[in-house]
Amino acid sequence: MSVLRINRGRKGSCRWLRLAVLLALIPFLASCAPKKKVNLPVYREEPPGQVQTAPPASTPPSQPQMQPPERQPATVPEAAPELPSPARISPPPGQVGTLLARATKAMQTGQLDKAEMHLERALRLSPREAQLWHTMARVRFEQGNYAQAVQLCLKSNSLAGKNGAVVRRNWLLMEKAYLKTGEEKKAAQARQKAAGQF
Amino acid sequence: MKWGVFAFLLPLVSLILYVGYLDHVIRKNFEGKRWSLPAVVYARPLELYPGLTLSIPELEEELQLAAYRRDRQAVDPGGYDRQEGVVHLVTREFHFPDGLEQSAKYTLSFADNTLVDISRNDNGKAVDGVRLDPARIGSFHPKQHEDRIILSRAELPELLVRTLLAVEDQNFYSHSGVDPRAILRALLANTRAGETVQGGSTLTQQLVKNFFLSNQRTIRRKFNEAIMALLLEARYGKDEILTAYANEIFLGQDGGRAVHGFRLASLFYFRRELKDLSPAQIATLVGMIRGPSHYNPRKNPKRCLERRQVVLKVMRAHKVIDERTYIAAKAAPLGTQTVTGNGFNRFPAFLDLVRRQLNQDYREEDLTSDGMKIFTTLDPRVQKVVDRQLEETIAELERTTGKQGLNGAVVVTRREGGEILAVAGGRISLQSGFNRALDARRPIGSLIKPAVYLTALTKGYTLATPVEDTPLAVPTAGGKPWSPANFDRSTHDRVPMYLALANSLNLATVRIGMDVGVKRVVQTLKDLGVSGDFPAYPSFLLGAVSLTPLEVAQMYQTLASGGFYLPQRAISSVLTADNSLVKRFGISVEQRFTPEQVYLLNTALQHVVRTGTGKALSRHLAASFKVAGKTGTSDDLRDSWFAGFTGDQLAVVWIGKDDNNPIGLSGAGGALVVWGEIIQALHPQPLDLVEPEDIQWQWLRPDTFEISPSPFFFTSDQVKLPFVAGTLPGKINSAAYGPEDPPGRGIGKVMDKIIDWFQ
Repeated sequence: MSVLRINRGRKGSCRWLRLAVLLALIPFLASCAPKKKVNLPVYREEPPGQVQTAPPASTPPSQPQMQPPERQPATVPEAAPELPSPARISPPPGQVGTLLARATKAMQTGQLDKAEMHLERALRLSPREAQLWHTMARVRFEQGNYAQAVQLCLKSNSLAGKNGAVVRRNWLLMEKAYLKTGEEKKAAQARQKAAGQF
Repeated sequence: MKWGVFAFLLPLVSLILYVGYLDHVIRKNFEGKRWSLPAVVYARPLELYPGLTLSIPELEEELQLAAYRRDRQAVDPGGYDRQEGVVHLVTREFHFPDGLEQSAKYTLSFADNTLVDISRNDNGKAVDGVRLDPARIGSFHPKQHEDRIILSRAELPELLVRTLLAVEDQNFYSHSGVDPRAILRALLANTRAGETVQGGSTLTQQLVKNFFLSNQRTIRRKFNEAIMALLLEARYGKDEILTAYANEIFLGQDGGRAVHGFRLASLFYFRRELKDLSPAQIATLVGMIRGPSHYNPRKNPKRCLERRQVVLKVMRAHKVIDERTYIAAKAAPLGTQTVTGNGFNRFPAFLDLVRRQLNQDYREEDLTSDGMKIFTTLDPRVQKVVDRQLEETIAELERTTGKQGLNGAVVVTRREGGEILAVAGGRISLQSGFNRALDARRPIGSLIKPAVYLTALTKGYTLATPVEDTPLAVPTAGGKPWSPANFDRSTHDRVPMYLALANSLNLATVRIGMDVGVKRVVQTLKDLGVSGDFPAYPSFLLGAVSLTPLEVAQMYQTLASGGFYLPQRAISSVLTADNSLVKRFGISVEQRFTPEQVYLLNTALQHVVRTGTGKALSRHLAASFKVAGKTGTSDDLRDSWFAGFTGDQLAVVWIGKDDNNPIGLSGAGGALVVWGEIIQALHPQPLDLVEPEDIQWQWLRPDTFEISPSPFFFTSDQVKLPFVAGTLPGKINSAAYGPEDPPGRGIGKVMDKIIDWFQ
């Protein structure tokens, strides 16, 4: 058999050497304790709005519209109405619906990264589902990225077709986003658009 | 007396300093980051769900790429079996950026090349979908190309540990780094044999040798090895040393990559996790330590088998396995799987793009040493189709045209979302080097035209606006006037604008472009997502601008997604080695054009394919796919382009020569053919454009420019076109720009009024 077969070695034979070496080295080693390189990963969210921001081409309608006086400059953002939960629009079927539900749940528990990733997964399966883009806009809103929230609402609208309920939600969310960025006129126009969806 | 002390102290101090130096070397290498772990790059995970168009052979191709193995019956993770219409599959546990996905066994049922049903085997319930662990498509190595997957002590199977100790170092748990009796025995055996037949090295010494020392056999190295083994044992525990050994050990070569550690070796040779290996397979791996190349189970199966039987005997002798296991293991075949080339840079052009994106955020040493996990958007199935079709179709084109030395590049992305699915940087996919998709900057010819027509649509033109397609001379600064011509030298009195685009008429395009202003068109190209500095010469209108295929893809992406600019992405997330999220490349969109204008333009681009310069596509795709696309040809037929999109994918193809010589092919003759072959193989979805609210459809007689909300009677030549409400033609006169009419005057004034009116 070519394999090594060796009896238990006597431990004492080299223990003295080990001790002597170590004793002799203590002062030396103590002085050169390694400096640990701490290289902690830093989470960096790619700013989704990193593209140069030109004013959206079609955001608010340029035709002046009559504004109901009671809707005039809402200064308190909280005054904006609560968004209806997306659950009330019938969810897309199958895996896309499952992922949308997961994303909504993650968003409600503050796990915005997770919500975003579930939505991206769903969008890979159903890239032209307006509800998914709307929910993504809500995630961006929660993340404090109001410009992207508006853009994603516009994207959602461009795919919503005749789905008035989704369009209405998009305009309502845009109103909230504009209030956050202090663009009260655009907010009022968005509210009008939302009202027009009934 | 003084000298005596000195003579005594000098060697002692030197020795202490030297040992201290060795200790320093050990700690520097052994503490903290022990190995340079290459960043691992993954393809997109395959999402399986009922209704997905996927045949069993296509699934099998995906599974093979993700290093799944075909078993007689799928039981362990990473295995599948295949029967008539049914695939059983046991997924592997995997850490995705959004969390851990547990291993589970599924039954997939297929009918007519469609996945119809998925159920979990443990509870028999149907599920909405399954996500497979993604294929490893490459890794970024430091120079020495070592690859390994790190295991902790707890993850080392006991059977492996006991076998390893029985074979390599029986006194491991009692010696202190060096085993003098083992050395003595080996020395004796070697002297007797006259050559090295036995090693007396402990695992610790072997580790020291691999980890810190060169490969030369000198006394000095032996001395260093012994001292360092002692130091290592004094400083670190047995388990830590054993774990380091199991991760460090070299177990073979995979092309340019060195396979280190038991875990990677297990996946590499058996496509199984280490914990799922049989005793016979463990014996094979342990036997290979002696000489990974000499005992390579794929190259030298006979030798490897003999060695394995020896190891099995040792296992039995040391009661690592019982007699029954021994007999069964002895009779087992080697069970090695073929190499898939898995994990080693199968798609160099795409990886090149990934690497360039990462280099913007990370230093080279982070990429080659921190074991980061990079999740990309690559779709291996699309990439394989692209590679195959590009290579075959170019060869075919060379045969039919007699031209030699053609090359090409392809970029395929998802229509919405902007994820890059595949990149081909040349006709031979495995050849890395010049990446034409990213670096070949070539004149785009008529691919520029959508930018001209989109500008016109924003300036009040409609698809039915009559434009003159007649010769003109554009004055140039200080030179002689520029007189463009149509591709086929033809001229036309007046054509509706959509037809000028569909037939790629140069004269009409230049007239429109001069009317709206070249600067505006340049701005449109930039708004479409192409960055750069483009001088606004009139020749810009006919594509005298050089772009890479990737840049063209970005330009058309903005059209394909309805006027929203989406930065294209090749990477979705980056995780650290211990699975915490460090970077996300999330979706971001920005509306650059109104949905109405883009809708009109895309409808005209559908006419390009239906009746215009792209109609040869009907040989590859039925008209019902309603593809929107554009051909492009540069001067003297040097570059052949096609860019277009279906309901779910966008692709750009370039064909040309590296030396920029003419290839004798137009966009329709070359790139379009490749485009058609690729998209045909990808199960495309038809392009159904979502109609914006303010669209009205009208019938147009292109010959008389008559418009009607209902079809004309007794007229075969008519077409239904969309208009933005309130911009019905009849109100716009012909765009009559001639040399005597400098841009911005004449028709321009009328245009301004109209624009004022409808803004």
